[in-house]
Amino acid sequence: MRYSLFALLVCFLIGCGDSSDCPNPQDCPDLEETVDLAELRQEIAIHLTNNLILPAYQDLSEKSVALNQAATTFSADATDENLSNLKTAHQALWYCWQKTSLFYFGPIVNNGLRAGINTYPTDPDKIEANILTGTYQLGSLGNQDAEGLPALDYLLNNEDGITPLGEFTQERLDYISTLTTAIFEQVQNVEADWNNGSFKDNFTGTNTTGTDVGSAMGLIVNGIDLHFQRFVRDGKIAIPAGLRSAGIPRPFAVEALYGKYSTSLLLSSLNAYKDYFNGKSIIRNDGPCILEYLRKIDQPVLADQIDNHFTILIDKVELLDASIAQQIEIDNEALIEVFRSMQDLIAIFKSDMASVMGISITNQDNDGD
Amino acid sequence: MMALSVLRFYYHGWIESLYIEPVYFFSYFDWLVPPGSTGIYLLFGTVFLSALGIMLGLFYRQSACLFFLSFTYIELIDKTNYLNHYYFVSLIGFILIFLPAHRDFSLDAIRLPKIKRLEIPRWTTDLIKFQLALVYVFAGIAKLNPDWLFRAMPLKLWLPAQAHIPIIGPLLSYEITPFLFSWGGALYDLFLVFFLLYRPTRWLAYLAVVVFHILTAMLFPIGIFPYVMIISTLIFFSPEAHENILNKIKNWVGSIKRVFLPPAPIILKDGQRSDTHQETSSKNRVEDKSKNHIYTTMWSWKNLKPFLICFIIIQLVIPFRYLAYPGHLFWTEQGYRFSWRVMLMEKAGYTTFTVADELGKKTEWINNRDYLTAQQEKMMSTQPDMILQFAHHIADVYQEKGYQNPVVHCQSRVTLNGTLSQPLVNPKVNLAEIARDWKHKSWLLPFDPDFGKKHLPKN
Repeated sequence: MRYSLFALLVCFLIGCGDSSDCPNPQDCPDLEETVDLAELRQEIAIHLTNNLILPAYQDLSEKSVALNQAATTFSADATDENLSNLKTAHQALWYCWQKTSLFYFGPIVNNGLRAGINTYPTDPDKIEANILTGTYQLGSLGNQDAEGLPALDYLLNNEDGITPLGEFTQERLDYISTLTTAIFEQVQNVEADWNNGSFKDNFTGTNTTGTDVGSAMGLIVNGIDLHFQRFVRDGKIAIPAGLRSAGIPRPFAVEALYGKYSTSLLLSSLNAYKDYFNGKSIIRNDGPCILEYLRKIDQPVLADQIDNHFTILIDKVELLDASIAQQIEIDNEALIEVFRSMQDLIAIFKSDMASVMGISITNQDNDGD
Repeated sequence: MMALSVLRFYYHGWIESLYIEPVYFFSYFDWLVPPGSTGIYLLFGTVFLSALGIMLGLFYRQSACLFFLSFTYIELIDKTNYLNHYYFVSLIGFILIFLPAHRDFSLDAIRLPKIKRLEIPRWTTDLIKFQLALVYVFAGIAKLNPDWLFRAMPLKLWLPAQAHIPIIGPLLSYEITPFLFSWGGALYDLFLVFFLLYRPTRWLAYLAVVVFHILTAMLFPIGIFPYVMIISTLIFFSPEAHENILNKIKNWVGSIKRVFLPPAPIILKDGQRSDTHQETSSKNRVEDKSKNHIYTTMWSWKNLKPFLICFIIIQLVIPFRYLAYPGHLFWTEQGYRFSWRVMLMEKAGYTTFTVADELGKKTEWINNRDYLTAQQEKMMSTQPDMILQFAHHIADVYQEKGYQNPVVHCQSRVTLNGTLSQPLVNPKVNLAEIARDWKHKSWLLPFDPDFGKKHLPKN
């Protein structure tokens, strides 16, 4: 009797592992609601790839072609109208970049696209020296702060916002064309990598539907955490506001310093983030997304909290001056408030979100900047 | 009577685990300042060689000492890396120093034939059994908390994350699965040892050990722990069972020799050899029996008794030291480590610091990643003693940078077992002024399980 009791208990213990009283889920009414989370994770990766990432890159690619063409046109015929078109194309690409760069995993990281086309603050002295000597190598580490969108910002907009046509010497025009071509080529490479490389198949396939390091969901969440901290919070707010430099502001370190639209670039980025979490894209209004996933794993409060927090953050940013550099002079405290709000959001990513999703945020950053 | 072979076999599993372990540690090299990177390589070399020494029974006591010291040293370098099973390995290493595990099936026994014994005192293996029992039972006791039993936390969070695993994956999404796992796990930990000690249920219990640990190995990133436990639990088997296994290994080695060595004439010899081997071993047995009564060394139970009893008592008391502290154990983690609390909580958070000079003229927001690896930042963010340690480090750094008596404040948000995140540290406290000691950490805010309900987002 005692033996069989022991045996029964042991069997129960073992049984916990792989048996359920219900071999066939259809027969069990109380299990009906169960979602296949692995499947949902895969659906999210697929929706994200097909309806958010690939369209974003296509847009980015088209706009980089347009920029390159506008530069060629302006180079051949330096009129006010062509300059204005060039500036519009430049600005359009920069906004588009805010909606693409947040998918921070895979080809974009492997190709170093962010460092290649959006390293700021840009270095005017280096740019002038490059133009003067005519010997420079774009794409090298030493020239990252003399190329890309921020360098074009310097070349197309002087301190007053407008550069007189007379200042565009042939050497200057050549440098602009070289920059726009380099941007175009880099964007093409990443887009091609997404479309033709093995990353996409792996990312949307059945082998990466887990939550471990390297799984699609792991990449998504770690990418958000890393990108939001470093390139949104630090790059756009913390560093210019002086929060990393003993409280001494560095207004020259803002994005779009010369064009003076850093605040709307930030807004564009935050809105893109909100859409990212909601699965919303330029071609579809919704689809499987992180917030849906959180609701499915019984965390509706957390999902709402994240969504609301983005709204609150966006509201705070909308109150800022159009230029963050200007805002620093007017009232730096408002930026510190934005920073705090971002900190809270990051805390939610790192604690609640990572925790309930079972994802480890231990981003080993390897993009070398 | 317990055979030495028990311990021999034990090491086989162990050395395996040691091959794997360095992989975990390498990634932390960038921060392991104390011995320098060459020092670390030397340390790992020492661990490896001494473990090899233990396994082969070569210069056994020296190896065991070295193993314990080098392994423990590595463990002590960085709290980030604390894991219950490293602590377990350290303890076993410590115990091994005192055990005569080199007296048979070892190179020492060949090197110094006069130390050869076929039998060892019972207390030696009992000590290891005790250590194992402690791990299981305390892990079981620790599971008897409301979160584990009634909310199935943290398994409820962890299991669905593994839904992609073949065959059992789909079952993990069911509401009831985490509860089955939770209760099963608690019962398993609490009672397993008794089934292991009781001979008729031993094989079944061991089967449960294997299944349980393989399952945990599949589901959770806990490294070598399952394998360490699977192998070390073998010590509960009788001496005869171990001798059987050892003999099988001997035979197997013999058969490999037969396959690889030149054929025909050897087969004959081999047969002869095994005969002679049996003869000699039975002869040895007789001789050893006669020698056995003069078995006394400085390592006897009599000499070690007071010391080992202290060791046992300390072992029994340490896991209960949390009772001396007020507050929620999982939240404050006062008395959490070294207590066999395995896989008990899901805790994650984000903790950041501001540093200002005394007069408040300069303020800076610390970027943790300037000082810590991602892993360290993650571990620090939820563990109060590490938060304080890091805050003091920041104070030191900024003192050097010319801040007068730096004031360090901390903003933290931590989630425990799926509750909405809430502040862990009182943000008004200047952490630079808090002493690092064993006293209750009154600078922590209390854990509020209903925090989420009170702070629902406004719609």
